[in-house]
Amino acid sequence: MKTISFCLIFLLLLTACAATDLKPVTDETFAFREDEKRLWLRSQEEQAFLNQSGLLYDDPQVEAYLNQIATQLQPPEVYRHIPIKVRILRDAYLNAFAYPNGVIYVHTGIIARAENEAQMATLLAHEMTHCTHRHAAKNFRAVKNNTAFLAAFQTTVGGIGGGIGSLANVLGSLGTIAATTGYSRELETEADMVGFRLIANAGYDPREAPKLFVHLKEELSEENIKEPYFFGSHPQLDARIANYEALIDNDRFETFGDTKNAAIFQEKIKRVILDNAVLDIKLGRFEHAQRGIEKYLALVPEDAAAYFYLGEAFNQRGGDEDIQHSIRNYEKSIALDPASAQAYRKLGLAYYKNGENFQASKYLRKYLTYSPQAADRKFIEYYLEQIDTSK
Amino acid sequence: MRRILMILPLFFIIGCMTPWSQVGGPYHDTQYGYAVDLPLGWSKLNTDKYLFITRDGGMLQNIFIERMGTDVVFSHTKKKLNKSMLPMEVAEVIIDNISSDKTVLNFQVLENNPLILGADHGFKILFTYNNADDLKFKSIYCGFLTDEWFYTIRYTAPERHYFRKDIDEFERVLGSFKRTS
Repeated sequence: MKTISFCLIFLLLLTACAATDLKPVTDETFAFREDEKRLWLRSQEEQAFLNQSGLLYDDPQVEAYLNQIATQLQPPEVYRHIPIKVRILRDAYLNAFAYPNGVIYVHTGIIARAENEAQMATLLAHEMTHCTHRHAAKNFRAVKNNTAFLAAFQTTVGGIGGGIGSLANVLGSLGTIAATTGYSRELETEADMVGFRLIANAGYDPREAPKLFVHLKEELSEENIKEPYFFGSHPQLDARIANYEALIDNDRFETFGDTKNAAIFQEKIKRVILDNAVLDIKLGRFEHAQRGIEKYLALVPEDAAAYFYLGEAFNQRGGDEDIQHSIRNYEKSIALDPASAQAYRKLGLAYYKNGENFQASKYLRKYLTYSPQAADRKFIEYYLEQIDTSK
Repeated sequence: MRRILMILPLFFIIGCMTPWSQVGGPYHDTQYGYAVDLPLGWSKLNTDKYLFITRDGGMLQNIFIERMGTDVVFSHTKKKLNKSMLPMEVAEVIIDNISSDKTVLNFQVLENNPLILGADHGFKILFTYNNADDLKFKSIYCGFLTDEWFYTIRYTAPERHYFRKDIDEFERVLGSFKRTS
């Protein structure tokens, strides 16, 4: 019995060694392995599909800015081995994930909630470490039958339904694992540790590292929200916070820089905040949306579209006083942009529902004037007919 | 010969267990309180949760009729329906739910029109999307709210060739729809 146990432990150690002998890409002995090349090919296939799915957030300037932050974090030789590229996904849920070939996808949801460049750098550094330290390859080597694992994983996730089940079909197996479960606790901790060192070396204030995750956790707890992704899950946020706080305690961070770049960051990503709030409205997460729009309005106080969407958040939430709030915001939108077709439409419908037909007719007609090719033109004409016949 | 005789009952049993049955002509669903005229030569999926019919296979064309409670929980958003909603507002909730589904790619609303079915006022949305295999579909989603229920009548087919082919059949089904309770 002892012999069998010894053999089993020996085998386990061998397996562990096989999985962990992959040095980071910065190591002198670094060379790509065959299985890793296959993972890269698979990553490229999954990304090709994702990139043409319509889920990408199309703003080259914001994307360039995030890539600029990423570039500052790594020595140039890393980019020679792994061409790290940050892309943005139009998704209000809180997440970011990396493919083994260095392509990192960051959701608009998490960008919109970050407060400064140092926090965004923390997130990117964590994800970059998964690539530079070859975590995907280590993860897959630790599983005996990778193909069966991938298939089984996707089937299991597919059965969950709702957000993540359907997402699995778009991301592919590698993307789904990276986006939802992440890696083992040891590898995630390594990503925190190495990432922490990267941001500190780049001159960012390391005390900002846990703040994004504390902030996200508070937000999820306040609204009792459960999200399907890695950075939207309480245990993972707790682990990140604990790791970063321990690193701050252990490190003499006084010797590091204190760069936060809050104002630059907010200026660069302000449009993402509003666009993400619109996604939150679509998802029915009205408190999230309201918070996002108010954050955007603090940066751009005279934005007609922002007032329209604030009106939408109130209107769709539909509480007792929400309708009045929505009308006020639609009117403010029109005051700022007299050609705000959608605001006329929503004002018209709000008055129509309230039986105020004169006002309803006025605004609905204005909507059709400013949006003559509207997909819902027949609907509006139908309501105008109803108003006319009721006179 | 004996082998064939032994296999025949197996075929018979499998035949009885088939999930599809032929339909056509008047169809009255007493459980969900509606009646429609179904096209001849189509098959119905054997389930009592909804009506799903197709002629050549669900991916090539299907007509889907379902009744849900107004408290329906949507799969992809947290939005809810309420009785005070205008048909146009209900349509927007539906559009948001469909477009938040990550397998519905490049979603585009082509038309969003009012629909009157008997005494019920609803909406009729025409939209296109690509599925996760990048096949482009075209779909009509009709729906209306009553005091207790939300009825939907839908038609989906690949945009190329199939949508146009059976659109008239769908319009006949839609035109024949009557609530019976």
